[in-house]
Amino acid sequence: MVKGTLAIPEVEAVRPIDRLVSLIPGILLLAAIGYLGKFIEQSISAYAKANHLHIPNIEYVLWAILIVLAVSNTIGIPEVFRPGVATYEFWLKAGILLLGSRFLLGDVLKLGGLSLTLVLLEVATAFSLMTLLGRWFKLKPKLTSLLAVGSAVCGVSAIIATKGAIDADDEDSSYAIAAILAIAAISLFTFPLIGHWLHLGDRAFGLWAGLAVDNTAEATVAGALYSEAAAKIAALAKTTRNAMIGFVLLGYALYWASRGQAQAIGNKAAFLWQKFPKFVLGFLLISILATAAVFNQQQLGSLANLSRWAFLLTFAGVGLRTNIRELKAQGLGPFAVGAAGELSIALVTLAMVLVAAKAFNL
Amino acid sequence: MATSLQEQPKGFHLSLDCWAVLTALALALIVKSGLTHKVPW
Repeated sequence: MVKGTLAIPEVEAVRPIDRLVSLIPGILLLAAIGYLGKFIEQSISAYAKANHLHIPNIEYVLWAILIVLAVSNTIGIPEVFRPGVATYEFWLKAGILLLGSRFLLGDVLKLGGLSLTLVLLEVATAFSLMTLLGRWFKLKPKLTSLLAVGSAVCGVSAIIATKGAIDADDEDSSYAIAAILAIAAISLFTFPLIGHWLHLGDRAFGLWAGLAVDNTAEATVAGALYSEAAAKIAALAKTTRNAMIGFVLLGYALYWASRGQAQAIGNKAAFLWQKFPKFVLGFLLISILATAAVFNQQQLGSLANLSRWAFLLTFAGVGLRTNIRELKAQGLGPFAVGAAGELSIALVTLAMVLVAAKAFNL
Repeated sequence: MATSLQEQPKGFHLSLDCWAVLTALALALIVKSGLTHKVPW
């Protein structure tokens, strides 16, 4: 069932050119929705200015998500658009990579070091909390593992990777994905409100969103709803979190293999490399090129605009993740564990960020 | 991260991460060549 929500296409032996052509309608749709979001934002802003009204600015990001959310949960997304819409994860990664040009290597190392420390604390907290909650609510141990990985590391991609590593049931991963996605969708709207209420700085809010919001897309969107600077930091913090996935998976795979419930791991280094998100290396490469002054100011501006357009396609695709009817059909148990865990993680990470903000003047 | 670009059953294929890195580097090269100077973003 979640297959539909995630728009994972069936694997068929098709020619690469046909596959590429099948992506075009969906990508054009994403671009159109993103542009429509931008148009609505600019129109409202121009109307308010012309009539001397004080209307709070609603970012194009939110408009794009609302449009897709409304369409996908009413008339639905026609089949012809689905393969292209499912590419939003690709645009997200391309956008983050291009964002590398905005970080000089010193910034990456400084913020990367800080977020790595916070990520390690967050992962340890999330695992302990989720495991405890899973036991209290008497969830199946593997479902608890999936929820713990989803909330500690990086949402859906981590759950899918863990499912393979620990031989979990399809049903368990569907539940875990549905719960994590529903919670991520709620965080998307509540985090910016809390951030404004607490008067968090852009960097502090970005760090918090990157640490506590699951799924790279949702974390970046939450940052973008706050400010462009916050989106940058959120993407970096979340990317640092994603880079942990190999170690976490290895730990879980070894644990379940030792209990005879998953295949044993042969070469651990190869396993780590296989699971490591390679685009992180590309991000570093582009950051190194920017540090070495390979691009001039005008070119850096163009790269930032390209990154913004890649995110625009991503944000338009995010709304499609949330199928309200399908989420309703899921049981409440995993959702309750996920929600209780996420709430606790959000509070703990907020406390960590507030301390870090004070210590490092964020 | 399951998307259509990743679900290649057989033959030559690259992971989603590799596609993203190659695309970003290609775009960076286009920007460096100066072709995007007059794009109305």
